[in-house]
Amino acid sequence: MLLSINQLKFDYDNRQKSPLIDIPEWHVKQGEHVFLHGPSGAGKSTLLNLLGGILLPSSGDIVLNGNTLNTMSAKQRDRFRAKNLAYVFQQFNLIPYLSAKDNIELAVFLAKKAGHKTTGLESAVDVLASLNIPDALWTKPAEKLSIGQQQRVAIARAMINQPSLMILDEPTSSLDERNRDSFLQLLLQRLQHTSTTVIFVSHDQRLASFFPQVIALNDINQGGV
Amino acid sequence: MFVQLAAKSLWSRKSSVLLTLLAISVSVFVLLGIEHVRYQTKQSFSQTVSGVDLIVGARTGDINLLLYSVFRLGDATNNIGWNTYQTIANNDSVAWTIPLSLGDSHQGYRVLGTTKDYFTHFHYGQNQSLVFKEGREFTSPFEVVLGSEVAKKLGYDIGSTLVLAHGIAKHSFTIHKDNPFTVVGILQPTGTPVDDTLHVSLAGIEAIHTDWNNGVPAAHSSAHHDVSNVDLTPKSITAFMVGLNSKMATFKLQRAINDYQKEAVMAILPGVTLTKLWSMMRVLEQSLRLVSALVLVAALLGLGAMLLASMRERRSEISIMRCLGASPSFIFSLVLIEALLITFVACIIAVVTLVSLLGLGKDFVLDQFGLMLTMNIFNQQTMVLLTMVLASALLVSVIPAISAYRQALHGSLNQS
Repeated sequence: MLLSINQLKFDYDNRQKSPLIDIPEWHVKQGEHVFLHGPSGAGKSTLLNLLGGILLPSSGDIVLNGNTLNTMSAKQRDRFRAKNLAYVFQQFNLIPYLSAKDNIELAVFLAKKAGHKTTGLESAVDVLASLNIPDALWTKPAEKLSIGQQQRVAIARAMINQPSLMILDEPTSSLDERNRDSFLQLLLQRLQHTSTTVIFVSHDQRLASFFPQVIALNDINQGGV
Repeated sequence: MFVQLAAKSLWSRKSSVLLTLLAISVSVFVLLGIEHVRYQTKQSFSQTVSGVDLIVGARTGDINLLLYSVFRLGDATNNIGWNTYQTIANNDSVAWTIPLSLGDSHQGYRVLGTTKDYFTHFHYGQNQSLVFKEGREFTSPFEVVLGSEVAKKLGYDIGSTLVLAHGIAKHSFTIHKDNPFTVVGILQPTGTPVDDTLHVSLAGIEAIHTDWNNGVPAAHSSAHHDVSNVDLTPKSITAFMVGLNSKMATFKLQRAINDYQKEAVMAILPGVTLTKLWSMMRVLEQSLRLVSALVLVAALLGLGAMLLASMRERRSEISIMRCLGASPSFIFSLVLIEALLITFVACIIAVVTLVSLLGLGKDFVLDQFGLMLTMNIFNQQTMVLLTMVLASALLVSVIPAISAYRQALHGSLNQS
């Protein structure tokens, strides 16, 4: 099991009676691709921050890859995130003044700093090429790329460290339908032969058809009432 | 990668960074410039005379004796007798002496009556000897050796003739016009009062004052008289410099001179008196340092403010780094490195500008102010200053770095 959540409760002001997040149990197996949907304000971003170890549960456990996040020190959680997690958001995925290549190399640098031994086996340019990103764009500052191009670079960066868990938070919301479909096909095609677990969060239920497992946040989260 | 990241981050905010860089460069330039000029002035000042163990003159204040004997400033309260000079010069512990006779001038430049020993034993700077640019020492009474500045400013060459004036006023009414001197030598620049001095023999000084009584020419004295049969041994001199066989004898001889019963004379240690004189200028020195330090503080506070103001626009950048596993301390260090980079580059700009300007302007400074500036600005003091500048930059950037740290610690992963 890659992700196990047990009796997880969280609220920003510790309202124990009706916390924003209250997930009695949720398990995700290694290599599973999960589509998690829910309306705005349902606690999706809060859950992602809990999974990333930025927020700590008020109670309960989050076990990722055999490591209980909430018992780690802050430094250990940062290292764990660098080695095991990758994120792609709706926007602001890339550091705007760095080139596509530099953005990817920064992820490799931080993962190596955290002790990730197998990162960087594939070079940044190889990953960029495999995602059909033209080489003319590799050295351009990220802010000069279109949103679609930025999202593809974000996937490249997410994949370079071969993460255990990839979390995608509304990554297609800023894309038109054609770019959205091409983005998803590219993503899933790249993930096909990896053991990376994917949690794809979106309010757009039309995307559910791309994923074998679909979960409504409200089904697992009893909080937020 | 870390430094590269900081550099690219700064480059992305180049307008504000450039202004901050400029402000710090200017302030470091001012700080180093003032320090260099201060250091060089002090060096030049303290090295005006070198290798002289004692200076002996009529009893007066030690600084006054130093001022008129070394810097040619002011006047002696009294002369000392030739017999007294000879008694002390013949002391067993004395290796050499340089008699100094002041009181005449030429177009505002002081005339120094001395002996050939002056060219042998007088040293300045790091024990540097006087070097002739052209010509030779004086060998007869009416020959003169010019300091470099005198020759340059008044346009004299070897063979030029000039007349000396009695007294030190720029426009004297009493000219020794009947006894012109011929320029036989011009010295290399030294950056010391030597450059502004005309050197003649003691015999020359004596010769132009024959037939003078009580500082004025005798009524019948007008024609250029033959001095070949006149005894030109001076009756008195203004002061003299003493070099000893052994430094150990310095205090003993100083005490003996100060206790000399036959005439009221005194001996000073030039190094000690130079330090004492310099310390009188400490207020000015410290004020200059304070002003330049305040300029630097203002610039560094500007750096802190610029970095702090940028934190708001860098929220998403910090979130991205956090997603990638950067710790809050990584982000804290990144801000510190940015501050260090700006300050380091500013220091390089300041140093390069200062060295270039020194290269271009040192001749002008020597010409206008008589101050010899070297292009090497690196000494212990400037290295300490540069280290302090970098340390201060780190200190002021702690506030924006803490702000970044807190953002990293409490911010969300997704800022969208």
